[in-house]
Parts: sequence; structure tokens; C-alpha cells
Amino acid sequence: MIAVFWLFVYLIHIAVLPLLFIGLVRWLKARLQGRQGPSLYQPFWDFAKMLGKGETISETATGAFRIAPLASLASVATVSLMIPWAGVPSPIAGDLVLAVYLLAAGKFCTSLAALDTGSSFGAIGASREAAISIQAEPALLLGLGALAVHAHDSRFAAFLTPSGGEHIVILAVLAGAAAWMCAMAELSRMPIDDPTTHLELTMVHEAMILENSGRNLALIEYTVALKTTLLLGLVVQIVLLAVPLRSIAVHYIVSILLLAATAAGLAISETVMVKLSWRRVPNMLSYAIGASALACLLVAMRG
Amino acid sequence: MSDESMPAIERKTYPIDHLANKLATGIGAGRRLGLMTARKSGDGDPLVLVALLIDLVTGGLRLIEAPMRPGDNTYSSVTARVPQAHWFERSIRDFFGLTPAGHPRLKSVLLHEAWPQGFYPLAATSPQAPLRDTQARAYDFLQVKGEGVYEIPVGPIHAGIIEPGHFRFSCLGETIQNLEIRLGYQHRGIEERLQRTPWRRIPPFAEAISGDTTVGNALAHALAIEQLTGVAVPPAAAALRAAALEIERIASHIGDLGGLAGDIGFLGPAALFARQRGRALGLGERLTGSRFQSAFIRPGGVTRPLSEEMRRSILADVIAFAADFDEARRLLTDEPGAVERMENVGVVRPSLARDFGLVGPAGRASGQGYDVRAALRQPPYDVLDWTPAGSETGDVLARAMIRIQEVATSFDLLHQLLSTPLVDFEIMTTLPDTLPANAVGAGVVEAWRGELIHLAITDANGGLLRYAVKDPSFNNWTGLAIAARLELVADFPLCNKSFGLSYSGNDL
Repeated sequence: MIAVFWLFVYLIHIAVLPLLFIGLVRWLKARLQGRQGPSLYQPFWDFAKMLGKGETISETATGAFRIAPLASLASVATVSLMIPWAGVPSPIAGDLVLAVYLLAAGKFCTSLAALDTGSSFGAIGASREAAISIQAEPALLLGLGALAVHAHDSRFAAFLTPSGGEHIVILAVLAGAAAWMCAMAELSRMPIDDPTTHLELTMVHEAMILENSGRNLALIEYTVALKTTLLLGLVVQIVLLAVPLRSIAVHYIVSILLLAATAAGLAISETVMVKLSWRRVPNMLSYAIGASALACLLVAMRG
Repeated sequence: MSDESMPAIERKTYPIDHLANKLATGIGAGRRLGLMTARKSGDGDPLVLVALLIDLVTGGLRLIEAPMRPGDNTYSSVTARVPQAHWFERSIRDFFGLTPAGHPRLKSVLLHEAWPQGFYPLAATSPQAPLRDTQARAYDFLQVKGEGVYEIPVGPIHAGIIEPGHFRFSCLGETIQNLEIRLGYQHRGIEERLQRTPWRRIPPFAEAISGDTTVGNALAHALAIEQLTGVAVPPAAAALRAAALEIERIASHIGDLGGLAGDIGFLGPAALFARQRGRALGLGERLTGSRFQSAFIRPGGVTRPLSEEMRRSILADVIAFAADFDEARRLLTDEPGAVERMENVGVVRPSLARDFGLVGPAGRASGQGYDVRAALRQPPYDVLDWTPAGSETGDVLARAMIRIQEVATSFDLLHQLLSTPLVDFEIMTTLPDTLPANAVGAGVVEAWRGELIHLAITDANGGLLRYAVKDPSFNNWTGLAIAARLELVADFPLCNKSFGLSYSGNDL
């Protein structure tokens, strides 16, 4: 009975938090830039609107284009059941390698769909996304790996449970920083990509989904929102390793507050930061790899 | 006050074979090719090639005319010796059907490919309606060949609410090997329309040529008509016109600076500049009664006086605004990340800028000191205290810095123009009822994008034989194609925004 209750709580988080998070980021961004901006709940209205709209599909598109958004959502949703990103125990005790490569599989589907339409922007976006992913992936895997080795367990539920231990503060900061940078790269956010731009030639993620419309687009937008909260929630949980909280209720409340703080972080970075030149993206990701490598070194040296 | 009217144009006729030589010598002697076009002549006579040369030292204008040989629609191209004529000659072929023999890359520049072969709108006595079932014109894009080279077609319809134009990128990986810009989607037949409009009714059409250059076009038209009719403008009207022109420059430059900030993802300053652009348009509304300042400048003067109370209020806001702008632009220029992002991107070397005759901020960023306000010593700029901006580096940063300097200069010019009371002044001179026969008038204006020219030529009855318009974008589109070469694909929007060119002004 208790397990069913927690599953129910978990599903509510998955359903509500992602779009609310996106709405919060946009609301904060508008305020920071001196604009009134749309309502906090606008992403929900957009989602409902897109669900009710018809689709325009490229003549060259095959079934892959139709199925990809669903496949991508399935992969991200599965991972979201593995990582306790909202501070609530996750229903599945997922393995970190499985999670990282499930996300990669989802991205593979999206790229395939982008190539499928025959649009040159889709192909550019897919190629850029792949180029960024192969740099972000080792950083994320190494950083999480260091935590797993530290906890002697590669399941998220296990290594994200605060257990203290030597150098846990430094470890959490290094792995958290690496995870944040990887999240920005994976989510195509600043300083890698400006999610609000209308310039096709500069886009990464947005270029891939230019051909999507209606229900297909609604699914993609929700998937991106879920992935955003999921990855930033993961960063929050890594950081919380450094400050073990006794009660599960306090842990939950602090997790949600910190998640809101990451929304503020996104809003600030997208107001005051300058987008990196494409040639500089590897530089930033090398910092992520560097932080992860240091975390590994720390765990390895301690034995 | 007749000494304040524009000096007359020196008009000379040469045989067609001497045209290239005359233009090349003129340019070698410190003149610039303002525009080159063609015109009809008396009944049955062949078409005449027309070129306007501007003396950059004395500010004098010279119109060179060269009649075509009867029954021969080809002439020897001047582009090989005068590179900046390359688009002019393509445009002459599109509109008049005259072929420049030996042009290095002859193809359509403006006409739509769906229009029939042999349709030359400005050459025929009465233009025929385009028929879609005739053989269409082909457009021959430059092909880049080689392993791994691919093409990205962008537009003509873009993702933002902007004007239509087609960009064909030939890329290798993330690097642009060649950019071909194809325009003409905004062609509305303006020149032909203006030629058959009674000249008194032209101003509303003339100022609508490019919506963001209302003042520039209205002023260029007014200057052309005033030179034709020999009318002098009251000094107060000249001052108010200059104030309107500088307000338009401030609003447009600030708008484009916001666009540049947006293109590098620097959204805080982008939002700030967008607000400040609105404030600049508000200044225009107070001066002229309309945010884009339409129906204000007319041949003979301006239509609306400026009350003493309004002058004081605009002046006070100009002073406060200048300080606010300086604060806002520091967000951009004091942020190392933003500066680095614009540095060494989209470079146009001064030698190329000179050869292709780039104008305005883009030209001045690449070492071309030409500024119409200074070169032609136009009143009231000849008595104001100011210097044109300049730079040599020719990158996106240089073009941004030139715009920043020019906004500051424009605030200063406004300050000087509005700091003395304009009481009991004339703002309009009466024009004669008819235009003089066989005359020519040119209006050359430093619009915010650069040199804008309206050229009016009358026939033996005082009717308009030719009304030619040359937008600064017509010179500068080539500069954008040069700037994009070997740049990252992802940096093209930044290069594009740093030029901020007009499609409608170019396509006419």
C-alpha cells in the first residue's frame, strides 16, 4: 500500500513538475529582462493547444518520424522512474550506465527523425547534437561513476542516498558541476545554445524539431521539459549528498526548493551570459570532463 | 538663401565606348560611383546609360550619359574596371534588357524567375503584364564542387517576421565556402510606378520604399525635386529635417544593436535596447507626429512646425536619453564575452570594401571614410561640430562600435540642432507648378544604412522620364556575401545583423 502511494506521488511529480518548471524559467527570465512575460502555467496551455492541432508532415518522412517522439518520451520517462530527481524515492532502482544510454537512445531517435524529413536544418541540428553528445556523455558517465564507486553501488537509489564519507563535499561539488555543464549541453541551453532563438542556422536542438507540429511537437516539448527537470533534479540530488538531511520530508522540501533555484540559475544564465561560439563548445565541455576526472581521481586515491 | 540650395549637376554625354574609361578615370581621381542605370530617350531613339559620379573632395555631382548604338542592345561591361558596377549592370539588364558584354557573372539580380523571357519593365513604352505560361527565366546559382560540400538553402520565407530573401550556403562541415544571396522577392515596381505618378503625389510613395528608412527616402526625394526645380529650403526646415534623420538613425542603430545582442544570446541587453528603440521612436513622434516620421518631410520643406515648448521637451529628453544609452551600451562593450564573440567575425577587408563601394556604417567599419553628410557638405551639417565615425578592422565588432559611435554623434547633433529656439520661422517654400524640361535632380542622403540616392530626370515636356532609386543595401549586400565567406554557419546570423540590410529598398 505504501509502495502504491509513493508511486502515485511520483507520477504526479512527473506529470506536473516539468511543464511548471519550464513556465517558472520563462517567468523568471521575463522578469529579469524587464518584461511582463507569459503566465507561469503557459506551457500547460501550449501543451493542450498543440494536442488539439493537426500535423503537417514532410512528404519524404517515413514512420520513423512519427514514432520518434514517442520513443524519445519512453526513454526519458523510463529514466525519470530510475533517478530520484524530485527528492522522492524512485519506483525503479535503475543503474547509472543503463540510464545514461537510455537517454542516448532517446536522442538517437530524435536525430533519426530530424534526418528523416530531408530538411537541411534537421540534418545540421542532428549533426551538432551528436557532436555535443559525444563530448558530454563521457563527462556525465565519469562524474556519476565516481559517485557510484564511492558508494560501491551503481544504482541511483543507492549512491544518491546521503551516506557521508571522506571528501564527500568535494566529490559532490565536482560531480555536481560536471553534471550541470553536461545538462546544459544535453538540453541545448546557454551557453551552448539559446533556446529562444528563431535563427535556424545557430540552432542545435530546435533545428531538429523544426518539422514537428501538433501532437508530435507537444510530445517533444513535454519530453524536453521532463528531461530538463530530470537532469537538473539529478544535479540537486548530487549537491545534497554534501549536506545529509535526516528527515525525508525535509529532504523533499529542500529538493524542490533547490530545483526552483536551478530554474533561477537557468533564467540568470540566459539573461547575462553570451552564447559560446561553436568552436568554443569543446572548451566548456573539457571543463566538465576535467571536473569528472578529478572526482574519479579523488575516489581512486582514497582507495 | 539660394546659396543653400544644392549645387547643380554637371551633365556630360559621351559615346558608349568611352563609358568604362570615363568611369574608371573618374573613380581613380577620387570620385565614387553613386549609381548607374539607364533611361529612355526621345521617340524611337536608343536607350541611354546613366551614371552618377560623386566627387568626395568637393561634394560635386556629375551625371555621365552614354547613348546606346542604334539597334544594338549590348555594350562592353564596365565591371572589370569598376567592380562596384557589377550589380548595377545586372540590374540594367533586368530592367532595360541591355547586355554588358564581358560581365564576369551575369545573371538576374532583381526580377522574379517566373516572369517571362524578354520582359523588361522599364524599357518598354507600356510594360506588358507578366505571363506565367511563357518560358521562365532560370537562376544559375554558383555551384561549389568537392567532396563533402553540401548546400543549405535558407528562405525566402524565414522563421522570424522579417523580409523575404534567399540565402544559398555552400558549406564544408560547419564552414561557409560560398554564400549566394538571391533577392527580388520584394519587387513592387516602384520606379515604374513613380515615373507615371503625377510628381506632386510622389512623396507618400517615395517614403514608403523602405519602411525603416522613411525619413531617408522622403529627404532624398525632396532634395531631388528641389534640385530639379531650383528651390531653396528655409534653414529651419533643413534643421528639422536633419533632426528627423538623426532620430531615425538613433532608433535603427539601437534596434540593430539589440538584435546583435540577441544573436549572441545576450538577452538582457537585447531587451534593454528594444525598449530604448521604442523611446527613440517616441522622440520622432513628438517631432513629427508619427513614430516612423512619415508625412513630415516634403519637397520645399517640412509640414509641421516645432513649438518652443516641444523643442525644450525633446531637448531635455535627448540629453537624458544620451546618458541612458551610454549606460546601456556599456553592458555590451564592457562584457569581454560579448566583445570576444564579435571580434574577428565576418571581416571585410578595406581593399574589398573600397572596390565594391560599401557605404554607411559597414563601409566606415572597413576603412571607407565616406559619409554623405560630411562629403557633400549638406546644410545644416556643414555648420555643426561633428566628425564621422571610422574603423579599419571591418569585423562585426567594428560595425557594432561604429553604430554605437554614430548614435552618440546623433544625440550630439540633435543637441546642437535643438539648443537654439526656432521662433517665427518659415518651414515650407512654395514649389513651381511644373517641373523644368530636360533637367536632372539628385537627392543624396546619409540614411542610417548609408548613401541613399534618388535621381529624377525629366523629358522635353517636364514629365518624369526616369526616377531611379539606389538604396545603400544595393552596395552592401555584396559586403555581406564577402563577410560570410569561410565563417562558421552558426555565425552567419551575427554577420547578417551587423549589416542590417533592407530587402524592400534593394528590390524596389
